[in-house]
Amino acid sequence: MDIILVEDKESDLEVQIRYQIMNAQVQQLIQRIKSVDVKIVGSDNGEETVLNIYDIFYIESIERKTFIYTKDQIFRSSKKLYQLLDELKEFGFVQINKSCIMNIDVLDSVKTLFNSKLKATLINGENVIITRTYIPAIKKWLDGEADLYENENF
Amino acid sequence: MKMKIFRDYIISSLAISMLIIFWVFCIDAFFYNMWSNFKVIMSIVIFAFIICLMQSAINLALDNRPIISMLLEYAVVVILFFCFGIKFNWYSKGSEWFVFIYTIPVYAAGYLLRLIGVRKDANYINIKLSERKKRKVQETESNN
Repeated sequence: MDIILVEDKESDLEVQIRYQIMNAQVQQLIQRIKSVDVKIVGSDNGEETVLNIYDIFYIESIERKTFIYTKDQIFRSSKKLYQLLDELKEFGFVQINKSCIMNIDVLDSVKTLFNSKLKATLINGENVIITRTYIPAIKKWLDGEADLYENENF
Repeated sequence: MKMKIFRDYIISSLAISMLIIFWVFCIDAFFYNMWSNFKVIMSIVIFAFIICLMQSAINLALDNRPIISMLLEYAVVVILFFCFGIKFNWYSKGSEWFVFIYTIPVYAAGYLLRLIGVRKDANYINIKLSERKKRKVQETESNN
């Protein structure tokens, strides 16, 4: 992949992707570029930080307060969970229970719990609960991504 | 895919058989005045309707509390069965303990079916995740 940079002081920032075929790699690239425009702000002890969405592991709402979890930090967000889900769903974030959305990219494995729920283990070893209602959304996302790769190979 | 077709087939055939039973007893009740059977069917339909409604409400309210929601779910089933049993004479007086004979096998079967379904989902997700990991490794190797 070649990267061509053109300095033009009179134009706005523009990204042009020239591709032979729309495949998973191009899709990922588009997502990554689009994510630059999404600003998720989290505050830690009053100090506000703009978070890279791919650093976010999961977002949880506890007693009407929204918390953003990265690999080893927790931030507070002023936004509601549904607002964040709206902003992030095209970047691989899915709702996993009534009060939590997760970045599928950080999902390592799942295990069955009693009462038909799943325990999701993330790549940093943390666990979150996936309830039955939201399992189809995860399967659908994984299927969609796999289809992209299959089409590419086809 | 085959399992999905089989499951859909079972669900639709059960739904149609329920509809036929309901309709047959409906005709019996209206044309031959046989209301007692119709009342039994109606009581079962209403019972199932309320149970499903309660289950959804419990799952929604106690989403992150698996043990409490499971116990509450069963308690609601037993209490409702007890009330419906008294109202519609599902068991004779003095045999209230029958509530447990009726509910435990049905609840256990339902629970097991649900568990099997979720276990299959878990396996499916794990397979997809491991495929995903392999793809990422391949991508990284090809980029290098």
